Amino acid sequence: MARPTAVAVIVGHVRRATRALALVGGVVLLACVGLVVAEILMRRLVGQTLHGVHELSGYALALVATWSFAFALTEQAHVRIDVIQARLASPLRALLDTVALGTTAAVALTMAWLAWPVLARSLAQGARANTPLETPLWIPQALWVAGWGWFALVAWVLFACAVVALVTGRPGVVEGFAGAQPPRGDGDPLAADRTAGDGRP
Amino acid sequence: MIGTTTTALFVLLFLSLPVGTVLFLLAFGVDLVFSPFPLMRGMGQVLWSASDSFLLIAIPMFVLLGEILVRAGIAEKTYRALNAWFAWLPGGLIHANIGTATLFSATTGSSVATAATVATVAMPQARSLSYDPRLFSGAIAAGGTLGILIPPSINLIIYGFLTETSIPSLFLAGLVPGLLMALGFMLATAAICAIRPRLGGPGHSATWAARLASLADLLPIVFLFAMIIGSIYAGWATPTEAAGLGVAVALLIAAANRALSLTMLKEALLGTIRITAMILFVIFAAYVLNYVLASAGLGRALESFLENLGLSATLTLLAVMALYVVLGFFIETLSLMVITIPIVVPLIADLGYDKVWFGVLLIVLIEMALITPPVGLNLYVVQGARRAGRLGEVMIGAVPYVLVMAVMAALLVLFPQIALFLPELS
Repeated sequence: MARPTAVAVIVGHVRRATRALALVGGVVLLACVGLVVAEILMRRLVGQTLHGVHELSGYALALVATWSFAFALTEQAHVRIDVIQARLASPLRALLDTVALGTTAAVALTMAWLAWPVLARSLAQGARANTPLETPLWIPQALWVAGWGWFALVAWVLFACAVVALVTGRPGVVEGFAGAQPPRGDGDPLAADRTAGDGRP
Repeated sequence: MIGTTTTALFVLLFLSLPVGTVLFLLAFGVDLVFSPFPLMRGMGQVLWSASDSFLLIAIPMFVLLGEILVRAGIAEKTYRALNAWFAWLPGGLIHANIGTATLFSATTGSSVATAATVATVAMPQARSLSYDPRLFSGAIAAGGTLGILIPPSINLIIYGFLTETSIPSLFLAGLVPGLLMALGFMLATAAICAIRPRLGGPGHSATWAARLASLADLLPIVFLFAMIIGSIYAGWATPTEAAGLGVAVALLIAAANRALSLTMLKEALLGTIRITAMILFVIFAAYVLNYVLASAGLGRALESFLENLGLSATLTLLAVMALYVVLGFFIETLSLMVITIPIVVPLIADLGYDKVWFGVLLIVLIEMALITPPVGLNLYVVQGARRAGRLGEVMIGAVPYVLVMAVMAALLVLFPQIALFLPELS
């Protein structure tokens, strides 16, 4: 077997990193479930509310979502309408995959840039949430801006990989890690779920 | 503005750019071209307020609930129990397909999770008994779509979030139409199989003892439904809290079935995060686009657009419904909802229609899109579980159920009370 190419190595590393972060996001989500259940039980049984559950879960959603966008990108799970693309020849398909990555990278970077002033203002004003917890807003917001930054970074790296693969004449490689439909393999029905992404409910 | 934006939307979409990316690009574009003052600087704040949301975390929680249930090993038991109850009808097991889909719809918020679960347990049966593969798999694809109509429903949460409509009202409004549609599916199946008994496979009837014994197997899923929906309407939980409660109960059910393990949990979490990221990227983008369109004067543009068309309210509604059927052939359903809601719902509300009612009608049309080719996600999910035959067979098998959905949509237009009487009671 040939030595793996630089593109394959980089894509592999990026995949592992986004997956690890996704798992962290999953654990955070489970923690929110725990908090919510605790809150309901407290309210029903003791008649007291656990302060801050709603607030913390709100931050959790913002963070889990932004930090997971990169995972959906490496898993090829972002929704794309490929009715036309699927009918094109391979080099053209790969070209569109590369354009898709490039525009997504541009959008992610723009959003990171637009998110920054939100954090900057909270830092400058020392803003705190208007809640019993009085959370200093810069904490969740900094993580949130960083999440957009991470998404942008991953998108740009994948875009660079796609461009390299494209100009070195390997459109199949681009489709392999950036195609509209990830390779369907193991025949497990949940794979269809995974491929298509549930939720496209 | 409407013409240019719509054209740009479709060109970019059919270049197969990610839908979320397209919506963000449109938001930037509309701001640059149409907005009287630059909105870009404020977009960050808009997005932060949208993402810091206790309501939206209901989405990953309901997704997680579905991912756990799929792996919790209760689908087989549910299926067997429903088979004992319904197999005497013409169409036999097909009714168990629909019934299991209905019950899973009432606990998960997603059509794909529902279709995938039922397909996994039902398909081996179809092969060993001699069912017509088309009708059998079409029923699963169609039954799965109930997942987004019968509460809880992720799509109704998305609709409520983007249109500022009450989620509990939407959930209540979806319940009766959802159950009626399940009944319609079963009636259609029975009618078809009564006329062409060959399609239905061997009918058989279980003893009453077997039926009563099977009820115990239905308990977990009925309990789960009662916890989720009951807690919302008893007023002790918001939709998000009900979702959290549902996840906890689903974990207990999985543990009771010895299906809970670290590997299983890890897979369920990764699946959840993948789907959540996919959904939320599109929703955040739609939210930002919504904001830009509204600030750039979409309301006025729509009014003059309508005046120019000169259509009556009824004709406009029919045109909108036709639009969904046609777009539903080609556009994946989450995207279809999210890209049309910012324009269509203000228009419909402007004509004096009820937003809760329209939400339910919209979901029925979206369900149709889920099982109409060439882009019908549930068709692919069921075909993926079949591992035999052609996709075309599932498509043909789904046709009778598409007709039932069309009838349901017509009924909703003629008798809005089908959806509205429950929310108005509470």
